[in-house]
Amino acid sequence: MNSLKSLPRAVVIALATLGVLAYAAAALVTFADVIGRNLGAPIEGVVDLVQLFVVTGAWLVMPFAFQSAAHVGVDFVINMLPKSLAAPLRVFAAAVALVLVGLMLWYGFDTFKMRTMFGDRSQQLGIPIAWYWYPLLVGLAASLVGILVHLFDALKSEKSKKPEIHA
Amino acid sequence: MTDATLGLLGFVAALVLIALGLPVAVAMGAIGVIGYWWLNGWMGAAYILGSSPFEAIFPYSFSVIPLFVMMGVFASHAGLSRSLFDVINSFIGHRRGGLAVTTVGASAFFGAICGSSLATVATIGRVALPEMKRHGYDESLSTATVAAGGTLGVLIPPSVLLVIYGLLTQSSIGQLFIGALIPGLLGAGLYALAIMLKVRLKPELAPRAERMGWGARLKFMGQIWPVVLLFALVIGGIYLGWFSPTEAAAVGAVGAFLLALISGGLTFDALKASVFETAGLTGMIFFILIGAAFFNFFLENTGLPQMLIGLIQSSGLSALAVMVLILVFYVVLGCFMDSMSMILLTVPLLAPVALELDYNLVWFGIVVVTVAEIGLITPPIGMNLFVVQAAAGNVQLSTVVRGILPFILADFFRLALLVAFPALVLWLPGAMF
Repeated sequence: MNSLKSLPRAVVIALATLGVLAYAAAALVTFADVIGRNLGAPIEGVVDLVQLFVVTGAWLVMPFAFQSAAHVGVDFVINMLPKSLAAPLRVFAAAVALVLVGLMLWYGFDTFKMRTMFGDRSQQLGIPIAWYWYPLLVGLAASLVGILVHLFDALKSEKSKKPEIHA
Repeated sequence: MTDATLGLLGFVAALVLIALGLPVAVAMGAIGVIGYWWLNGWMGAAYILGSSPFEAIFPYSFSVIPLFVMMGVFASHAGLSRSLFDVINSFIGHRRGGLAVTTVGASAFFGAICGSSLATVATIGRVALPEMKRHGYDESLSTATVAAGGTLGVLIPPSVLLVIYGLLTQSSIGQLFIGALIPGLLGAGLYALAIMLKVRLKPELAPRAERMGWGARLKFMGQIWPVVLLFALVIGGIYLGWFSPTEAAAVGAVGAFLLALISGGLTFDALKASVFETAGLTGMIFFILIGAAFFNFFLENTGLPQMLIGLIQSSGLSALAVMVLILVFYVVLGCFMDSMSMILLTVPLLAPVALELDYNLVWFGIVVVTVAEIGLITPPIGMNLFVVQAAAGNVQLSTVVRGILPFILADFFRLALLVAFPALVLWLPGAMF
């Protein structure tokens, strides 16, 4: 049971780590190109590579931002509302996020199929355009998991607070 | 109902959802999609849902964001805060109020490299607050100094907020960085002046610390030269046209990683924390960009920015009066909203207005980020106030707030100077490359 609960978190964390590694690859490729350019040996297709790494990183870290509640928000008003409203508002926020991300995934998949149908490739290195789309699909699907994990944690924490309030 | 009225309603609805606790990105995204659906039918909404997330992140110019975030995260683990504080303290710590001025200087430099206001407050606070306490500094002065000092890094380049503004308005990120240098340094100077004036009026607030000899000064200077070199390379490289902002960010990220590694600050735990911090921050920023893309699609379709421009033109108000109104709006909004959300929500609406009034967009960006900084130290939700309270421990929020007023006044004075003398922003970018 515990492993079932921890599996989604582990997946999101693993994706986040991969995402940051992709950023590191983008930094290293760009750094190597800056050095290489001055030595007369620039890296071919650096823009394509950096775009691929950054796009991959950006989508793979997104579920982690949902799971760890890294998204900026304003708690000022919600803190003034009665505690009994906090849980429904959290569910509402998660529901809106789930619907939005779900729709992005659904229609994103349609657009992915359409744009990859003709085998388009990147300009410099000829990287298949689908490679830039796979991280988006994985990232959005895992974001749905991240939102649910965060909602579960938030509700659990609300529940554990309740006895103290009534005490 | 006209489209522009719908746009205005959408703007208000987004603010209401944000107030109800929805993450800013989700609120902007949801209202953007619903509004676009209302205007263009479901096929239109489905089109932006399928294509905008990809387009919002795909451009090469956006690579600069994670690279600068990584630079900041690694720099904050390189143990720079102690060295920066020590070197400035060795020169001015013995003067009355010197430790507080040292805190401002260390915050400006650390914040510039780190790029995060909250991280600067937490990190510099850990070093500066015990030192000021040890020397009998007034708690209100010391905590307010740390909170205010943390805001400086938001403007002093490299600044993630300026990058986002640049991407939103398609302004040159290099020009924004260079243009922010003088206003950022001016901010640090005015904070130092505010401290000195306060201490002159009430000397008991900040007793003198011990004077250090040249031996100690040279030793401390030896510890920070790699950081100074990295900063000079990143910003100087952009100024001299050696690197694009993305390349400068990559050089900065690799350099900060190596510095953290050499300093011994990058333990396994620190590396793990760096990875998660980078993932959380960049995931948040990129999703905000997606939410802002949906929202902007909707706003552009309503013609609200054009309506605002028309309204201003017919009002007979001067450009300066309109700008003052915009800045007052930002100051009020900044009391309740964090700086990044505020910029993403309002810039697409107000940048066209500024452009129509013949204001330079680089200047407008610097002024907007300066106002956003003020929001970090204004109650009720000035984030830096809470972070310094947590860092200080056993300090009431009211104690911090009591000391913050001179710094807010210094910020308003700086804002007035930037509005009165735009050359303070535009002179350096004009001399670039």
